[in-house]
Amino acid sequence: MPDNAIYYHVAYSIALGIYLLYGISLFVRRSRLRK
Amino acid sequence: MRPSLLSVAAVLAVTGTVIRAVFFTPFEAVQGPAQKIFYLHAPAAWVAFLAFGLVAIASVGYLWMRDERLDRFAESSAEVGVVFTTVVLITGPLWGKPIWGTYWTWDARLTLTLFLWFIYVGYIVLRGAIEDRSMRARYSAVLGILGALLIPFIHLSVYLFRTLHPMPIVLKPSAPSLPREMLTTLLISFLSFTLLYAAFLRARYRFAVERDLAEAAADAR
Repeated sequence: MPDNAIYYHVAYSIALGIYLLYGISLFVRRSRLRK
Repeated sequence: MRPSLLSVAAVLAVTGTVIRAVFFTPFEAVQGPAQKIFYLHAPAAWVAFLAFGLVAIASVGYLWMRDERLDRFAESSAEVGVVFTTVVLITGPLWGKPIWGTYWTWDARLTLTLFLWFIYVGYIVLRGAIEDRSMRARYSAVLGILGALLIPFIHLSVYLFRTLHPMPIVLKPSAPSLPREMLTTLLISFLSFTLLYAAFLRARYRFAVERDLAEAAADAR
């Protein structure tokens, strides 16, 4: 089996990081609006 | 601000899916660990198509009925769709490098997906550039509909053009060609990322409503 786990670790980290950052950005934008 | 039930369900579903994909789904024998990128890449592509398809439907509805809720829905779905398309465009090359030997090739599916991303980034920029509300809604509705016309070409590109990208293994006329364990993980990931789309869409739509109310209040002062 090829040893290419680094690509899958990087892909999962970046993709889940993007979703997390977008979720935080939505939260922050709504919170700012309410101030 | 309390998180909605939908947001909590989406976070739990995505967390469970990732745990299942990473720890409880076997490695594919030929491609090795990199094949697990599939469980992020394919659902993100499906959600992007769903998001932009709904942009087009809401935009047609807006042009017909001039209902601002449909414009807000299209605006929200387009932004969430761009997020998912970004994930597609990052995870795809990271899967392509170990399997194809290259991060990127200018074949039909990859190029059209990049164009789709550009169109909807342009859609967001267009919305930011026009101040008049009804003109902004009209122009962006037209772009939203035209952009979604790429979706069938992207899905069928592996049949229409010579491409490195593999043929569909689930969304095809015959039965899915995946072992049961992998297919189950894939179907769960389709469901959980669709739920995540719904949670993002709801939060983004609510933001648009509150922003428009705040703008209307500022205009009235």
